[in-house]
Amino acid sequence: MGLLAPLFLLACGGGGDANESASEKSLVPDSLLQSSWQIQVASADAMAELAEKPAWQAYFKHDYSTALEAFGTGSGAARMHAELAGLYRQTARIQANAIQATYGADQIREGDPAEVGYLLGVASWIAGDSQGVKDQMGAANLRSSKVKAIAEAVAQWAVADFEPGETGLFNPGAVQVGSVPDATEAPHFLLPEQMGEGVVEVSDPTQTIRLAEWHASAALQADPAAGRILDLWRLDWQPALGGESLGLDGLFLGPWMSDVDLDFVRAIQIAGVEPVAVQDWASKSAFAAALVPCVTKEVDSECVIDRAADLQSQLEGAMELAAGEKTADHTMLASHARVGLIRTAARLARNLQDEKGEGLLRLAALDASDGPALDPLYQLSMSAWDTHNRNPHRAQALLHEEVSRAPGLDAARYSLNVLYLRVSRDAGDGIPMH
Amino acid sequence: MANKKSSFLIVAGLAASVLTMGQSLNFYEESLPTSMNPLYAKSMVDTRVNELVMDRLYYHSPINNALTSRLVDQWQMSEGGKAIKLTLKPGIKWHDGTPFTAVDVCFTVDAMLDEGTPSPIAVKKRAVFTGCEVQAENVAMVRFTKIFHNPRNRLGFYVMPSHAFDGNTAIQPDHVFANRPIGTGPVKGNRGRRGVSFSKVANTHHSAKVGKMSLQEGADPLVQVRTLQNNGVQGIVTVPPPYRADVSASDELSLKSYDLRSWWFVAVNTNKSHLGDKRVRQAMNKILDRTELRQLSIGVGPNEQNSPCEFISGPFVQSSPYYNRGIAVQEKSSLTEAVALLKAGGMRKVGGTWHYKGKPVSLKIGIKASLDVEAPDLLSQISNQLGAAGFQRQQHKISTDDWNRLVLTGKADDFDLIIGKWSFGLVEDVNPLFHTRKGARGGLNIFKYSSTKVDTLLAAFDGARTDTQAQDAYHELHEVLADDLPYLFLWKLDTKSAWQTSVRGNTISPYYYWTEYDAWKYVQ
Repeated sequence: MGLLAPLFLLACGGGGDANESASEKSLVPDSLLQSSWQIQVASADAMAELAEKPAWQAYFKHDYSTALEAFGTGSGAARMHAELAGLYRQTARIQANAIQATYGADQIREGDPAEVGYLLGVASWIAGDSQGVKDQMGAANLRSSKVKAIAEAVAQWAVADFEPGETGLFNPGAVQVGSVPDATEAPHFLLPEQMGEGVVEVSDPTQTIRLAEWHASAALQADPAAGRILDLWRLDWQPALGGESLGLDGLFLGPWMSDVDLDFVRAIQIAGVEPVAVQDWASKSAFAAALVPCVTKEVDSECVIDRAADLQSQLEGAMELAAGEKTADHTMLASHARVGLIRTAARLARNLQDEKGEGLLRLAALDASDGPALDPLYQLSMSAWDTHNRNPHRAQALLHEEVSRAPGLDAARYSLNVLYLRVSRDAGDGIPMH
Repeated sequence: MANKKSSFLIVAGLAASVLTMGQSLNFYEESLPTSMNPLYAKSMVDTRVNELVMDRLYYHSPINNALTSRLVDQWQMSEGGKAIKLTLKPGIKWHDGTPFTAVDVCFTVDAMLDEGTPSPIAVKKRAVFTGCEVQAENVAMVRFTKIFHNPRNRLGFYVMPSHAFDGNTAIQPDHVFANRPIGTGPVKGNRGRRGVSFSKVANTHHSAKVGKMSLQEGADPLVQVRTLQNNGVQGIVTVPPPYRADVSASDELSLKSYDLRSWWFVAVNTNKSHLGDKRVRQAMNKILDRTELRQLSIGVGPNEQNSPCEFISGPFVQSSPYYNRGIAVQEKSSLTEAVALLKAGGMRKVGGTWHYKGKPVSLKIGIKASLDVEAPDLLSQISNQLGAAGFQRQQHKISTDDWNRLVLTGKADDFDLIIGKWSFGLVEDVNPLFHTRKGARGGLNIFKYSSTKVDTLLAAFDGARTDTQAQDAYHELHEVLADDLPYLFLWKLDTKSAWQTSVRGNTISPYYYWTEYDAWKYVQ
């Protein structure tokens, strides 16, 4: 039995008539499912071929460094590096959101360290506010700070014309495909409070940014087509990269069923809040076809949840038909599509500025993300969203579950801690309940 | 996928699904509520029921965390930031038809400030409010003890009806309100001997879609899950981890996350002569093999990824900023060290049994009965481990009533060890658990543990002027408690609910659970 145990539980009965099962539902045209990775691996032989590979065994457990080592280079390594870049970018967003929510203009408190201006500057960079970076870091008190590390960091940013990759800070070294650079142990700074003798532990998001960009470069070196995946997790202001297909390596065990679905999600991401015409994608993307009835000026979350379940059902039938039998893996593999559709709908709700719909769908995706369909990228993006909403409670729990995925992710813990303490103490009183 | 309907029918609006307005939505709770008076909530069950029946003045949306109110139309800071003027929404009525007014808001504030209201929740509010003035039928001016940041966050209390208490602000826990509350929430509740029935109430600020609901006390978790699978009930608030896979595997059911900071412990009676020496408590800490306990009672293997159950070494969950990461958890037993500590603590082993001052040590171990459902056989497993180490034991399951009557009041002196769980919302104030019982302090100190050092740290937390001071105080507290061990800290355990997929719109609010009840639907 390999490490991908569920993937080896193949062809163990539970079959029935494949044709009957496949024709049970037709949420989307069957032709749209044929390009899905689930159909490609539906047969026991195809599945076994992948499941025997140590790289996929490691990825199944979201053990990125082992997976990278096993892939070495090529499209598989490109995918791993791209996802690691995404993990660091989401972590940077957690840090930036927490810093803003703690020390932003309407939240900063008497007694907060004077040096938080530096953190606000880095947070501005992550938010794409280049003027904000300069305004915050230009403050005279930072350059003359008694915290030498802060004074030096500010100087480095200024010399680098406020581009973190040009500073000498937290340099992860030359890009090397197939490896994972180490990270300095957080916290990076201890900042004295201006009231009392307390010291605040903070981490510098600059390191997270640099690690993200290191992996982004590695992904593109491994395979330029990785740009398509990087686009999914780019910071909103970063340019879209595009690229060709990574093939099955770019999709297997992921939330997006096919390259067209990935392109659809990518289009939503790149569009920001410019509405995406779902109907235009419906003839080529199964996700878009499934979502059309749920989208008006808003996204009907209940409709999406229903149709995500139906899509999983239809896909399971199609897999059975393709394989000529039902295998124990089909349900698990098809569940990725269910989660993927809900996550796509959440992105679409954001695109339509439907805040409530986005929230409901995000929560639904979180609940649906069970077992192998649990995706660290999504967990961290949810944590960043919660942090933006000043909801550190769940944000911390989600981050806590994922901090060991890659070195340096725990830096966000310190940013969230200060936010949590602030929000918790603002909330006042509470007593333990049994 | 038996539950799924044709997507084309759904699109055409022709699906045969109907809201089951007349049919009751039934669900299992951990236990029955002990009080439906929010000032006397002691358990998470009480808290959840409060959220159904009452309205908090302000609350955070479980969807986007926005601070909002169903009761307040407008607000304005006043008196230099030490008061807030609240203009109430019009047309809101109490469940008995009485109009909701500013009198009720001020009555609630006054009741919390009244020394004759012996509520631990109210006591906390006395540090926040100085009073409340009715300025018009729909306008209340609430005054604070000082200027607070984000002051509306301090207004998250449930509003009580003045008329139900004839305006008497000294509210007692045995008032009939505890069983038959009058609220402004989406439903009214009526507690019977075997459950609580809820029925929706029309109001201007609520529009519940589920007509009737019934809370039942859950017992055997297997029975709960089977009943859910057979649609005998539509939901289970707390599904024990070993049964979650069963729920996940069903197309008719969905698991829902319920954000709650809960951790489990074994409280040690430090006033018993044989447990008074901390070396004996440290020995017990080393006798417990938490890895085995977790496997046997929670069903989590030693190296399982994304475990719902994570060990702790102090009174906080590991994701909390108050958790001191410098204190290691005791995962496995260490019997050799335990024996040395027991001997150093005055114990002698005679005939395979530990003796203290010439007498065999028999440990009376209790667990809150509902916890033995959530972590099946935990009591037996802990007892077995202590037995294997050489202690005689007696096992007891403690009813919720006895828990409230004896354990929470510090009157369970005859017990040596009590297994329990504490749950927290955003505020992780552990002071009531460990402070010396004195006046209003230490109100939840199970075995009347007392330590000057601990009291000093708890006072430092209470008096902290900055977030960092508060964090430092609790970090040190964690270290001290992990050494002195009035509790043997076990683990945090994620909470998951299970609901039939025919229950729709069921967003579960962190801690409060039912905040978005108006959106819940039961569709056949």
